[in-house]
Order: sequence, then structure tokens, then C-alpha cells
Amino acid sequence: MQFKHISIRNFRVFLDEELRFSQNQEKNVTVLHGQNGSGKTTLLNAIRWALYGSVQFDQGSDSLPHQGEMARAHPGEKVSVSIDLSFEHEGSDFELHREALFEKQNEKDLTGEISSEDVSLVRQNGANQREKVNNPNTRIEQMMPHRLSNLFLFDGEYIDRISGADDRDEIKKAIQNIMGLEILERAIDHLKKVENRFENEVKQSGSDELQELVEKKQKKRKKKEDIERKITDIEESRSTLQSEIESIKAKYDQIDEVAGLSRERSNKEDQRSKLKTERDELTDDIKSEISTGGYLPFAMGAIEDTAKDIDELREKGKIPSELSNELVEELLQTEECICGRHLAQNSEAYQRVAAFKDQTPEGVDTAAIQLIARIGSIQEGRDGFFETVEKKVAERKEVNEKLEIVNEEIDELSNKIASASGYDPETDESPEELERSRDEKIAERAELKAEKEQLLQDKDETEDEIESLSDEIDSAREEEKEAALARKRMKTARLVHQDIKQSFQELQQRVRSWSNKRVQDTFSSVARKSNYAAHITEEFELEIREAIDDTEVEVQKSRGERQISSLAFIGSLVSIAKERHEDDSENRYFSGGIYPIVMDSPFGALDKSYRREIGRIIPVLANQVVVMVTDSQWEGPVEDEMSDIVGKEYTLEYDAGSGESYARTRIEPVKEVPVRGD
Amino acid sequence: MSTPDVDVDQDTRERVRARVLKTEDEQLHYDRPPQIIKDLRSVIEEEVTEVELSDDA
Repeated sequence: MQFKHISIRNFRVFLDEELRFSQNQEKNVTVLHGQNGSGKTTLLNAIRWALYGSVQFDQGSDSLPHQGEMARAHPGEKVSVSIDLSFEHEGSDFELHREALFEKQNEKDLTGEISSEDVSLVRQNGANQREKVNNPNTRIEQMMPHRLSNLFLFDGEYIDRISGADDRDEIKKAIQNIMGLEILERAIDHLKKVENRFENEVKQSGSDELQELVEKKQKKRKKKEDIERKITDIEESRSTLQSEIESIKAKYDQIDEVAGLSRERSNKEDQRSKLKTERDELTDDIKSEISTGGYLPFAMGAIEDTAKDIDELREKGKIPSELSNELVEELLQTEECICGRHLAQNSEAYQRVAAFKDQTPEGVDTAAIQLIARIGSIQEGRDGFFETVEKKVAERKEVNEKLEIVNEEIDELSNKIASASGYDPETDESPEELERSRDEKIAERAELKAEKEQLLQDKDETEDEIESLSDEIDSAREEEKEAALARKRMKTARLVHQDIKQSFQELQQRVRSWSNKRVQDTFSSVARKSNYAAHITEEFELEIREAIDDTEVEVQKSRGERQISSLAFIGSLVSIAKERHEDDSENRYFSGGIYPIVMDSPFGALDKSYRREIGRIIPVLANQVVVMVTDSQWEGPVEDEMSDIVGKEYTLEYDAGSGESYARTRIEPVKEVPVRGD
Repeated sequence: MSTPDVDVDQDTRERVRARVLKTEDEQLHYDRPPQIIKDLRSVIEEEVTEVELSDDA
């Protein structure tokens, strides 16, 4: 970027002034002479305001409008403050215009309240092509980032500050800014916050729940397997016992005294088994009847009462024999049904009543009669229910009686067998012994059967629990998946944070070392003491060291040395930015740029020898330099050093005003050196 | 319950890193980028969309 021209209107002490900057490569310095309070800092801020819409006044008011213009305006009127800055950037010409309107609040108000601000940027392509740039603030930011502006638009105080031992942060910040390290630093800070956000998400999900459920399910599965194993064992035991009972029966066949009794008992037992099956089926039938028609005995009273009420209403004519459209309309309008129910607009009840409109109405009393008739069939259903249930109960009673008889017959036969004589020819067991053994085995089988039934019930319950746990696991797994994803994202944020932090630390040291070399070169080219060298330490302090024999010792900097080292530092950064702009081979976070330098009072109150050195350093700092000085700072050695490289020279003529006129500064040209194309 | 570890492969790390720095670069003109945390979070959410869980239940 290279400034070409600036027009300033109503900006503090400047009413309507302009100046053209030197663009001559050999005479790249524009000098503005002005006494203290003449507007040098204001001019620096005019450039800042044009570029970024902000100002930095170390002292006094920040008020922008010219006081004379504000005084002349009436309350409610607006004073326009504007700056036009034209510049060249990468081969194109740009015209930047920033304007703000300040409204006068009352008679005494000389500050005004900003009511609007506008900025525009026009790019000149070729001879007559002008193109308005969209998002001018962003474009300016890309051309000359605001964060770098202190390095290019600065006053003597800034120069003093960066050379101070307590301001290593300024040096570090400046280096980081120029090298684009701020991107890395910001990313490090922001990624930490992103990581924390993901961490909160992970914390919010109960990550232990899934594992607990899985463990519970595994235990239930094991329980079910145990039950199944026990059932199998019981079935095997029962089967063995049954074989043993059959074996006893076979032994009875070998004993003549009991063979017939045993066969007869077997027949009776078959008969008993069938009767039990028949009884169980009847019990199931009775249960089924009760579950389907069991309500009838209890509801019948209420149904009969309702039918009676409807019949009475019908006989009294309280139920209209026909539903007329008028009646339906009336019900809909009053939003109340004849039953007293509220008919909210478009509710289901409302729609149902509305459906009666325009229907061929069926006599309501007919409906009532039908309803009463239907109650008759309900009555019949109730009677049928009782009839069926009573019949089944009677049948079951009959079966139970038969069972009782068969059981008695079996008992009698068993007693006969037990008391019979004879022996098993193979084992020599008596029928009594065999019968005792048989009874024990039958009892044992019965116990095992009960145990099996209990186990089957436990198995059903366990299966239900497993199914329910499976549903819970599915749901918890979904949550766990989300938590795991948040955990992975958190880890990604942490790893990338670590990567960038490592890059930042490596690059920061590399850049410090690089800047250090550049500062040394610049400083040595202008320092009057050849044994002095400037350094940027590992702690980012700007030091001057004196070489004594083979060692270097830090010297206490005088004000002049501080300013020289600061300017050497700034000049180094400007040249680094320029180099980075021209070299795109490196992987960088900042593409650099070519920037002008605008300095307000860089000479301070230095003695002649230091002023001479600074005068020598200024032209090498940047492609374009704008310097604002007082006469006393300029005259003598500075003028000697710089007069040959000054392309344009102006004075800031301050007029304090009197009476009705307010203070203003005029910018008057002193010397102009024609530039190519001017 | 011990938290299962999740792996982030090198390609993902590099892609996220590049996009994070690009996002920072685009918002460098803000002193305090108002949307940056949300934007960086979106970058990671877009790049990390899947996770593998052990299937032992």
C-alpha cells in the first residue's frame, strides 16, 4: 500500500485541507512541519479514522467535528466530517471515503452526537473503469490489517514504549502480528473452549448406565440358563422315577397274587387321568365364559334404569320425535348439547351434532324404542351367561364326583396290593415293600412336578425381565453412542489444540530468531557506536549489547538508543512483511504486505547526534515514509540527513482564531518534487 | 465403568487443523470473533461424525 492523497473536511482543527504524499522511490519521505498543538497527531488520526473508523488520542477529547462548524450549526442540524484517502495497492488505485454526521444537541454543544457513518471504497481499473468494492471495511482489513496499524501509524510514545524493558509483550505481540502467529494463538485459546463444550456434553450423559444394564442382563441370562438346566434335571429325574414305577408294575405282573389287582389299578389310573383332563377343560371353559360375559350380572341394573328413563322421557314427549335443522342450529350456536355438554367449535362432539343437519332424521323415539328393544337382547345375553356357566359348573361337579370314586377305588386296590402275599421271584420283595417304594416314588414325582412348575414361572418372569432390559439397553446404547461421539470430538479438539500449540511455540522461536537477526542488521547499519548491537532476547525484550572483548554486555539504553533500537525493530518488521508478501513459497499464516509508515514526532527531545542517526534510519524503514516534526526537531542534523530524500514537504499553519472564528490548521506546501506520472 | 478410548486418525486431525486455521484467518479482523466457538465446534462436528462402540451387550 502507498498513500497518494488525502482530503480532510471538518475533522477537528482541519476545516478543508488536503495534501499529496510523495511516491517518489528515491525521495520517499513526506515531511510535515508543525509546532506542538498544530495538528500533527490529528493528521495521524485522520488517516487511522479513514482506514478503520477509530482514533487514538492520548490526551484531550476524542471529539471529531470541527468546533467552528459545530458552533455555526443550530441544534438538530448535522455537521458532516469526512476524509477521502486515495492510495495504490498491488497495482490498483483505490479511493476511500469515510463520512460521519454529527447532530448538534443544544446551543452549547460543540461535540455533537454521531447519527450516521458511511464508508465506501472505489477501485480504479485502467483509465476509466471504476468499480465499487463490496464490504470496504473487510477489504481494507485485508490490505492493511488493523491489528498491524500500530506498527505503521505511530507516535513517539509508541516508539518509547516498545523499547522499554517492561513492554516485552508489545514486542512479542508485534512479531506475532507481523508473522500471522495471532491466528495460531487465537486458535489455541478458542479450541480449549470448544474442548470444554464437548466435555460438558460427555459429562451430561450417564456413561455408567449402559454397562450396568449390560451386566444386569448378563446375570439374568445366566439365571435363565440355570433355571433351564434345573428343569431339564427335574424332567430327567421324573422320567427315571416313572421308569422305576413302571418297573414295579412289571414286578407285580410276576406275582400272581397282585398281577390282576395291578392291571385293574392301571386301568383306573388311566381313567383318573382322563377325568382330570376333562375337569381342567371345563374349568377353562368357565373362566372363558366369565371373562367374556361376566359383566352382565353387574351392569344389568344400570342398563335397565337407563332404558326406563329414556322410555319415560319418550312418553312425556321430552325427546323430540324428529331432529329439526333449527334445533341442531340452535344447539351449535349456543354451543351446548341437549345433554348439557359444551360443544366447543370444531370439537369432536360439535362435529357429531353438526352431522345431524340435513340428514333424513330418523325418529328419535324410534331410536329410543330400538334401544329399549336392544336391552331385551342384553337381558337374554345375561340369562344365557348364567345358563352356560351353571351347566359347566354342574358338569365339572359330576366329573369331580367321578374322580372321587375313582380315587377311592385306586386307594382300595392299592391297599389290597400292599396287603397281598407273594414275592417278586427275582428280588424277593413283597408287594408291601414294592408298594411302599412305589408310593415314595410317586410322591417324589409330585414334588418334582411342583418344583418344575415354580421354575417355569421363574423362567417366564426372567424372560420378561431380559426383554425389558434389552429395551433399556437399546435406549442407553443410543445415549452412549452420542456420548462417545462427543468424547471423540472432545479428543479431536484437544489433539488439534496440542498440534497447533506445538507449531506455535516452534514458530514463535523461529520467528524471534529471524527478527533478531534482522534487527541486528538494521541497527548496525545506523548505530554510531560500532561495538553496539541490538537483540531480541528469548524473552522478547529489545536489548542493546556492547561487545567487550569476546563477550557482549547489555547496556543501559539512553532515550536516543531506545528510539533507534525501536525504529530498527519496526523497520525490520516492515521489511519482513514485505519479504513475506513477495515470497509465497513458504507455508505461512500471514501473507505479509507492503506498508507505508506514518510517524508523529519520532525525534522526541533527543540531542543532535541521535536526531542525525534517526534521520538516517527513517528512509530505509519503508517504501513510503510520512514524518511529522517540529521545527526544532527538524533543523540541523535531521535536515542535513534527510533533505535529499524528502519528496514533499508541508507546514501545518495553526490559526488560534478570534472572536467568531474558531481555531483551524491549514496545510501549506513547502516543497514538492514532481513524481513520475504526476 | 472405564471410559472406552476413541481414536482420532491423523487425516482427521490434519483436516480439522487446516479448517480451524482457515476459520480463524477469516475472522481475524474481529477483536473478539462473535461466532468463532460455534464455528470451530461445527468444523469438528462435520469432520467427526462417527464413532465405533464395542458390541458386547
